[in-house]
Amino acid sequence: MVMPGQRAIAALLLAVAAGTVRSGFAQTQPRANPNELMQLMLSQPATDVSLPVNASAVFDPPLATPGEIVVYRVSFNATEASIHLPEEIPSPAGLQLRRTVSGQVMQPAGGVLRPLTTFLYQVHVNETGQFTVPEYVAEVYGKTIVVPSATLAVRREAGAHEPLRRLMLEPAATNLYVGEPVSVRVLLPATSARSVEGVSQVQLNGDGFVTDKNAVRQSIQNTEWRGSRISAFIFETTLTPMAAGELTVSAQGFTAGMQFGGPIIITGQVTIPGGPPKFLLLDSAPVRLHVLPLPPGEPPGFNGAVGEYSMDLPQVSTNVVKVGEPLEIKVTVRGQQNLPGLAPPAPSEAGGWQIFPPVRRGLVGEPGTPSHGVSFSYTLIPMSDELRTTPKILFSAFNPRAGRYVDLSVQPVAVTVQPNGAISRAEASVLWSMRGVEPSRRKSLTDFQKTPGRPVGSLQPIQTRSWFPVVPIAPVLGLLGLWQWGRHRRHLELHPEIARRRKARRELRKARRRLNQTAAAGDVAGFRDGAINALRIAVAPHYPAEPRALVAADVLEQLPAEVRQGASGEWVRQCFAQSDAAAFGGRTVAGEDLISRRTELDQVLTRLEARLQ
Amino acid sequence: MGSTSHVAAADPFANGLAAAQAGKLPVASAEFRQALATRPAAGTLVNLGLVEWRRGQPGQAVCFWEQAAQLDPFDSAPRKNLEFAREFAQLETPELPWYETGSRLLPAGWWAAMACVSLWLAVALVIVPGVLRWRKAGWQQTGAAISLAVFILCLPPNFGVLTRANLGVVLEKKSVLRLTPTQEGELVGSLVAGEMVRQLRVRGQYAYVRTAHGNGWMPRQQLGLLGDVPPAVSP
Repeated sequence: MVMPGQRAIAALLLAVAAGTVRSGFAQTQPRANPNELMQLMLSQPATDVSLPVNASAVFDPPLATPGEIVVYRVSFNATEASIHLPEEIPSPAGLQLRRTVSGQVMQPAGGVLRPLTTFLYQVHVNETGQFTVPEYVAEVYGKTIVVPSATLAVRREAGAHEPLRRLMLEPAATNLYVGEPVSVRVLLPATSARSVEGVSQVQLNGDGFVTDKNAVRQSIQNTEWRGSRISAFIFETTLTPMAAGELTVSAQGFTAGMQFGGPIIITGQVTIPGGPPKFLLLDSAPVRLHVLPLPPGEPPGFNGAVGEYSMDLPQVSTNVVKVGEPLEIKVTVRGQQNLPGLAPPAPSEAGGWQIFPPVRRGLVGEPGTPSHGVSFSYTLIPMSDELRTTPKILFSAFNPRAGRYVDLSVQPVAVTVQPNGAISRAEASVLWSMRGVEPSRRKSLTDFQKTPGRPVGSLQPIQTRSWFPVVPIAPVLGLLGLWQWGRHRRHLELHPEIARRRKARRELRKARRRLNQTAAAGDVAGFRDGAINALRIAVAPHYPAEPRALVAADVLEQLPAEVRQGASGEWVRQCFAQSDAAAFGGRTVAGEDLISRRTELDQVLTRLEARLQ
Repeated sequence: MGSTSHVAAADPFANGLAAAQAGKLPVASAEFRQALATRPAAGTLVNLGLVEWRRGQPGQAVCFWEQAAQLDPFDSAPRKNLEFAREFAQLETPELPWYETGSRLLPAGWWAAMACVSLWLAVALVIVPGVLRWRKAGWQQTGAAISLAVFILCLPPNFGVLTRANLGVVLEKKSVLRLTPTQEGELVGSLVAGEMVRQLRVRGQYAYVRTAHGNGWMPRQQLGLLGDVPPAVSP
């Protein structure tokens, strides 16, 4: 089974296998922009599946000796998913077929890509003779396709013939621990004509391991293989076992001519065939790996790191820091194996320190040199000025060569923490999160308010209080009063005599009060004028007329006949006569009798006032 | 000395401020609460929120700052503190309906006053000239139209003030939502201290609230409505 390897998945699975998964440690791969993905898809040639499906079947090699490795290769110009082969390939007696691998490759042809799918069957034949696999049918794209017959000749003396081309699988070690990465080489030796071609779609088949396809190297060089030097195409990757026990690994790939599908290093003199490549599916003999489980007794700080690692002394950004201000510690883990997938040491809880998750700073040094390693940085915030050292960060790894766990903890560093006023843990955390923000735009809590501000009656809005609905209605009363006043005013305009009588009554009451005062004072002239004024006021609304324009006759006319002709009428005439004499004759007339007869005046005025109602 | 203590006892706000600056947070909390009981004011609420925040009570702090922002929308201090608290505590800023958002622009009393004044000004400008037999003038009709427009514009914010009275803040850190208003009710979610919820109805000691993630019942003592002073909680 093919296990597509990605660093993140490998690291996570490794940690799971070791039982030390901690949140926040999974490395995430950079995600491609969707637009870039779309552009990449659009830039690919179209896939052409319009051609009629053809099938081919051959033995490789077609001539062999008994027991020689032979494969039966069946190919279709169709996608692998669309092909349904019979479970059992009809085979002659004495020849056994066992399906091993299959693969699909896209062949470029005239601006389009055409699929080519190949199935490999391992052939077991120990007898000589002519073996023919007859025609049989396969279902491709829902249609029946006839697979032609193929013949294998097996002879004791097969003569010189080209043996089966196979891939060679070479792991750097076969005795491993779970989680221990191992380099694996897949080689395709040169042909007898010293021609070397590349291999595409290389896959490692098997269960219980992951491969790292991000750390692939390709080269063509002279190398040693089982004691002899050969020229070969070499595909190198890293394999990490995930399960203990015996693991079987094999490789497969298509020959690809001079198409290498990535950077390649070529050393030495080799011949690379030109022209269009011939895509031939090859496989390798299986290789067994002996995988041991990690010994029990994992030390604190072990997070699944397996390999030969060492830890540099930590470097701090500053040795003097204030409470609440961040401090950065940089640590470097040196080693050669699986550095991209190495999970950083997890910071443990440390009293007085707030520690943020580590940040990967990248690889350092050249691979293969002792300085090669990976750096991490930790940000710590001291919460007290009583701290004297940075906290110890526990970390350990399993050294497969020594067969034991190694303590690689980040050692404490002496620092001086200065006081910084009262600051809460929460504020320190946000201060850290704001470290990249311009100081003027950083968020922070405000200082305490020096004054309480304008007091209010209640925290509840007035809209929610029970008396509030009454408030908007209050102006209605004013408007109703105004409307009533206007209505009354219009009524008075239609009936002006009402206003005149009301005014006359008001003025008459004032005049009678003054009359009483002058009578009490014995002021004859004042009493007489006051009496005349009161009489005029009392009768003026009946004409209507200006009171000062009225004479005695006008007043008498408004009196009932019995009054006019009686003593009261006489009193009125006398009063007006004395007033006229004083005003126009220049004579001073004694009027004491008018005061003494004032009851008659009161009666007249009372009657006149009653008429004003 | 006696006069000094007398003056100190008479001004709980000043006492609370002094205690807060001296780091005596429980004393400061008690003094500010006393000041709040006698003379509610935005500054007192802001200080009380700062004290509760430092005492590790983010729910209470958010509640006090929300109340301060409601009392005095022109004061930037509660808004800054709320932004800080919500960023730190990873709290979502409540998404209010547009009429509630508008109602936060001015103090609640202003909206009520503007609505009343504009309404009766419009009515008066229509009625009074007729009653007083003033000659009808353009400015009267313009004034009436403007007043009526102001009144109509003031209606949504006033409605928003009413609906905002049902907003509350989760006070305690381990509050949960239950399916039924009982102590053994099925859990339907958990709440974060400082999270804003909307009280929909009340049953006994439980309130049915709407949160950003669903509805459920929660104990009323764990909910601080913006119109009430939340009870003091020991940190």
